[in-house]
Amino acid sequence: MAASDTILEVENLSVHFRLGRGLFSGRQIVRAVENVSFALSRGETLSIVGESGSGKSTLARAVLRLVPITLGSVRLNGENLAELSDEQVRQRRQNMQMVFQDPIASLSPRRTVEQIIAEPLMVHNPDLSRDERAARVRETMDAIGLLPDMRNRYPHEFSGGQAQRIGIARALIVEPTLLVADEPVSALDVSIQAQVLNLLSEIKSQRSLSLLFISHDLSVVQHVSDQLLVLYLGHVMEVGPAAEIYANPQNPYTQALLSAVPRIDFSEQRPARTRLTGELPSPTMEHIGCPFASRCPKAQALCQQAKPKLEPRQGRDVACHFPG
Amino acid sequence: MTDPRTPLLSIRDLFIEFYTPDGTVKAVNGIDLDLYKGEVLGIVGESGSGKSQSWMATLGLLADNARTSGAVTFDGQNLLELPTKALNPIRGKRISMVFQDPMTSLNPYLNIQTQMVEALRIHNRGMSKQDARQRCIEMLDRVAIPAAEKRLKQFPHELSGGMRQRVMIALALLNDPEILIADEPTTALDVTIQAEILDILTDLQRERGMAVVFITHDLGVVAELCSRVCVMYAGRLAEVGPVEDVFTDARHPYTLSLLKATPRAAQTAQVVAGSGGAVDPTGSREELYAIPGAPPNMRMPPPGCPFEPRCACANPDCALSVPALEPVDGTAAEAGRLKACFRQGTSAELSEALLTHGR
Repeated sequence: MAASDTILEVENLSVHFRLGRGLFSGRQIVRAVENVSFALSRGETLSIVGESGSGKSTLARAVLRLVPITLGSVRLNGENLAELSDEQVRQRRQNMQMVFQDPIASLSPRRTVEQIIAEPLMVHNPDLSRDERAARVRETMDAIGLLPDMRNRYPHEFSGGQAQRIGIARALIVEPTLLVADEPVSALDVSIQAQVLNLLSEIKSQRSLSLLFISHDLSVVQHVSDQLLVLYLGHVMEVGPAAEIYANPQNPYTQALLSAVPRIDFSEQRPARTRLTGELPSPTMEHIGCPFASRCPKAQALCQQAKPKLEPRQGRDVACHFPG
Repeated sequence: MTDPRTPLLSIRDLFIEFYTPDGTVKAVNGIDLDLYKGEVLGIVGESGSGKSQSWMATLGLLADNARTSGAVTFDGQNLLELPTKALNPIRGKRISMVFQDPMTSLNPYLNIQTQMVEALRIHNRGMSKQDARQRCIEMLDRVAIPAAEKRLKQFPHELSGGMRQRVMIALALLNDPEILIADEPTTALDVTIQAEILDILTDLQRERGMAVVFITHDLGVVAELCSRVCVMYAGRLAEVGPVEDVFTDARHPYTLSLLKATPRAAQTAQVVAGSGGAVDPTGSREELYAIPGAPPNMRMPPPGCPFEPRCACANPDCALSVPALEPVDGTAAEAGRLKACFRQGTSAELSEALLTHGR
């Protein structure tokens, strides 16, 4: 998949957390992300989907090295972040910025909008004069649809949608090549959500920004994504072009996930639902077989015994012994 | 209303205000609505539209600073005027409610059995503990909780979000209510768990013939679950009607705007016929309609139609007076289609206005 304009290349990435030792249990390890690989090209959006606890946020945070990488590599513009020192990573953060879920909570309540948006500049471009900084803030606010007179107001004076614009402006002011958005519209009402989604797609095309998008809302994901990565218990189940996966999912987990989405569709051809039973197994379990086997409607003996490898199938990669 | 059946519950001229230090919040501003036996009524709207408050009022669950006026008639009584003592035999028994966050509605100090048995015995004096326990196990089975007997001994924190919500539903249905009010019961859950819970609710609703009021912001859930829908905006009803009619032929600009602002999974992913599974690339990327501005401040709602400041179809008159909820032009009265908008026109004509409206 490594095209020449690849911005981000993640290879065999694992993130494990150690749980404290219990009185009767030995040391337990949460395998939040297991051996994940994907690549993201310039100007593309890759979405990570999965249920709560699937490891989507951890994966995104590991890409930014906000959590330690246990194994594997994360290459941003060709440089392996896993091998850099903390200070070196801090310098690279200019190229990779993040937008968070709760727009109000992720902004400091004691700072004005101008101070909030200018802060990344103070870190990454400390040499700018005060006037230059103010000019950059004005430019960015304008591009994001914030009015200049909002400069001196505080986050609590804004609605969720406006606050999310401030968060996006703060991320974009240092002109990153990669933007990671973790559930950026989940806290917003539909009408406001549409404003923010349109804004994201606009800035993405204007700035040829690459977007790593995390959401549990599969309709939103379908709307924004070029590439899709389906995660289950930290494992990639299916990864490839979003349109093709949505049209014709090959992994039974993807099928179940997509068929569970409530749709405004009154036609008779609505596909039948694949129902899952049971819930996500504990992430501390090490899987010999397919992690999804315990809930999979198609599971057979082989699925318990051997972990399926990601293999190309119908234009995307699928990890399943019995795909289709 | 024109429906020949007598409503199970009817709301007339309901107003709800909250007194706060910063002024009076006019949360609900005149609602007229009937609920019929056996129907699943969806209430959609954004935060602050009054969709939850109007139903909390029904059960006397509003905060202390609330003042209501109007009537909610159930079985010949106005629930808004009933003293708590008279309301108690109704709520939890004849009308039940399920809330969004089961963790805050279950008591963390009590195990599931204690909470369920209490709910049962409070309304059925003289029921033995043994019988009550048996009934609880049956109910937990009914909402597909595995090993029900074991679960009774567990505490809320020991259950997953999906399991807790099932316990809430079991609790709400223990006394076989005539009306179930479900306030965003699946919003906090994963889609896979949501799908299961919606299936369970649908089954139980059909089997018992109870009326369900389903409050949500998710239009997809309404489309799949409900027979009728009310779209609320700024404490008023914008549009009411059968779900399929309203969603395929919206006549209120707000309803239409909402539908066009919602990313739709269904209208995309067209596999081109005969091309061996190739995907039609023109599918999904049309821009969403972003409703400009934000909902009005309910301390000072606008004097005219509350949607007027954001509406693509507004005339100067719309800012002057509030449109009444009236039958949609050109529909038969029996169709039950109502809207509160001065602008007449088909869904297609309104769409046109949205397209030309300030991009």
